[in-house]
Amino acid sequence: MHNLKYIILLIFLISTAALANDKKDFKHFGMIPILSEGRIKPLDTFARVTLLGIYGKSALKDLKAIDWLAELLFDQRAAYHRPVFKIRNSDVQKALALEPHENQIYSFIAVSSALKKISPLIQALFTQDSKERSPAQNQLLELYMRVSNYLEISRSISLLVPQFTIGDEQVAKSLDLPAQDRLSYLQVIKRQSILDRILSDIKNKKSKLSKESKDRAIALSESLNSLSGDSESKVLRIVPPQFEKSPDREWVSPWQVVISGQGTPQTVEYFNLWANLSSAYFSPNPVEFEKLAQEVYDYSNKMAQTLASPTKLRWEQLYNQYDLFVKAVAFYILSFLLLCISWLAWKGPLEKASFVALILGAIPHFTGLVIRCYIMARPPVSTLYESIVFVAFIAVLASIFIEARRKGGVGTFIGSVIGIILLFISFGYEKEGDSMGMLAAVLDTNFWLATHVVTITIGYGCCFVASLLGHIYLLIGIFNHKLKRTQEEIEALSKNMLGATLFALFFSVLGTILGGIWADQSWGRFWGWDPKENGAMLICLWLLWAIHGRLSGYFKKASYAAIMCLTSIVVVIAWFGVNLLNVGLHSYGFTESIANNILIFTTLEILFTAGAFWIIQRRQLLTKMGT
Amino acid sequence: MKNFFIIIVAALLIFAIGYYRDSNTIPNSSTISKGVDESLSVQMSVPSFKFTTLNGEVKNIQDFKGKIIILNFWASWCGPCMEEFPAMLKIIASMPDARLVAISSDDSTRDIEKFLSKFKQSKELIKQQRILISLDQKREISSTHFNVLRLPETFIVNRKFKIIKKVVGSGPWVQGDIQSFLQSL
Repeated sequence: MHNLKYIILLIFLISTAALANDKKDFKHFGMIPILSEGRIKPLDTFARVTLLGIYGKSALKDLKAIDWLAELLFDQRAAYHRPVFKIRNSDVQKALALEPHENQIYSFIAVSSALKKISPLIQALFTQDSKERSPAQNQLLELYMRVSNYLEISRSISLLVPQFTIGDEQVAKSLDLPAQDRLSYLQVIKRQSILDRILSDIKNKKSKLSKESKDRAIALSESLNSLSGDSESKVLRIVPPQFEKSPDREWVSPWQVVISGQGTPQTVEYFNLWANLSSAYFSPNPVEFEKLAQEVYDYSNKMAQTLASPTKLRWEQLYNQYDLFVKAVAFYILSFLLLCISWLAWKGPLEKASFVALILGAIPHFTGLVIRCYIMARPPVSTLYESIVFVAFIAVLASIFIEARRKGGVGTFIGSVIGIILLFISFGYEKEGDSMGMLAAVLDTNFWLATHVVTITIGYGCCFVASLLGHIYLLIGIFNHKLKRTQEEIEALSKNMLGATLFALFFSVLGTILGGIWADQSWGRFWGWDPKENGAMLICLWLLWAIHGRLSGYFKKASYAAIMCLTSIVVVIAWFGVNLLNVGLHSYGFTESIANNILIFTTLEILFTAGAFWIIQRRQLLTKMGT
Repeated sequence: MKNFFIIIVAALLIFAIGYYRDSNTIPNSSTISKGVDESLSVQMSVPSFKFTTLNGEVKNIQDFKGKIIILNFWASWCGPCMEEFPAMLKIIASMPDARLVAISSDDSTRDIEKFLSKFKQSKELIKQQRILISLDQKREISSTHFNVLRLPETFIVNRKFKIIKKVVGSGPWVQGDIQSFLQSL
């Protein structure tokens, strides 16, 4: 019953945060389906990933990603002045002659005009080989790409947005269009042939229009021409395919519809709804925008038929909104802190509370994984990011079992530490773009993902648990004269360590064999001495060696614990390390910065293990000599 | 140890079920339908619009409900339009139940008449009102109702007054496929 209090308190904390977030007008706008990076996703995800690419974070300080995208599409005048381009490198700032800002964030207007001034340099850089360019030059080009992408998105629906006012009665009359209304490109371009005739009359001095009207006609024609440059805009693929299913029929952008002849009465209707939405963006009544956004959303779902699932779109939006893994990590940190305090005071209740916090962290963690499985219709282990989140969950789950069986805080300690470390590492990988991206063809089979990869990653998780138990064992060995643990407790710890190793071995061996069978089916060979395969085998051999040594009595308990400590190095090398070789079929997550991290991690682990082991051995020797 | 065996058996059972279910869903390449690109995946209703024929008669597209309608957007200055026109004439001539509604983006009726004078067969069909030609200089029909900006584009409407196909560019009117397709409607 004691636990219930904590649970209620913590759930209340989550729900109030959620309520505060829910005050938004962009619910349906964020759910409109779009095809991007090979996947149909809600606009909300598209906005987050795009903003991540441009700004480096998936939300601005005072604006959510979806609000930012709406502004970019409907109100460029405001959007272009909003600082979103982060330029950290001072060399790049100098090259662009930008004034140094405190926060290093610049608006589109500032960056694009600066880029325009050095366009010959940019062009020269493009012709150079990327290895010959300096880091600052590469960043400059990267900035150029970001700016182009930003511009392209901002022009995506320019053909639908009412933005032309003819303003001259005579010209308007000849074109048979209203003079004072705001008109869209599509509304004006209909009269192209008439406008062309007016211009040719002006050119040939046959025109009877007044000078002012002539100027108006010329200006109108020029702005139409400049807008038709937007027709290259292909990023915002919000128009579902309307023609019979065929693999190469894809979702298209509004401009592509009219350029590639995909216009139908349906697109007319859809475009009208978008035009209304763009007008409603400026309406003082926020309800109107949401109402029209719902109409657009409903219509696009009607057009998409079975291609887009409204429930999945909604779930993905909720998944984005709630940041479940951040919530999980918050609970893990809480759990860890409570546990630390419990060592100082109120041991019993705080230990329990920390265990409850660990379980509460596991709930959003698990929910996040389940939602990802549902949205992507595949097991959540197909990218490095996903495997980290999954391994973290397995380790937390194993720790919960350990804690439930043998109390005393060891399980909670392991779970919270692994959960915090791995989830923080995963947040770094999340920055690489859409974390639910499409898969390489070979990975895209559910059965093998569900078996081989899941089994292998469960093996990783168990290895980490065993390794951390090894650390704890050694630490207790060193400090036991202060901690005063009973012999039974130490014995139980040793048993848990062996149990975790057995689990790790079982899943690693099974996973490796299943991987071989998969490889036989898709690549035509069971074993190819691929780095990843060698890594998997390394784990199996390492564990087998340790267990055999332990069971045969060759390794004493302390030696076994030291070997278990080093297991984490073996796993990290098999998991991340082989990607650094950048060879082989399993290189799914190459990252340069990771090499240093692995080096630091390995060094620390070896130093810790060797040091701890040496102290324990020395102490045992001294005790023996004393007796 | 007992628990350990239970876990192993449960894991193997899950794999077996997964494999059985997955092998059922592996797509068989031969079942992917060939598909004609231009066929619409949803049948769309034809928006209601009026047009004026060359002899000044005002018609409503709904007047042709129950017929097969080839709704063609074209112009006399457009090469591909000129290319496909004779084949379309042939189809209309061979199918008493089909109507060609050709909406032109030309500047004047004079251009259209000049164009038609090259195709003698068309005169008779226009007289029989199996071909209906209308001038849409302001592109009110093509652009406002169909998002058609480039020429030629053609919609095929079935007897239930639903658009079932769109042909972009000079269509495959001469080939047997489209003729038998139209016959089958």
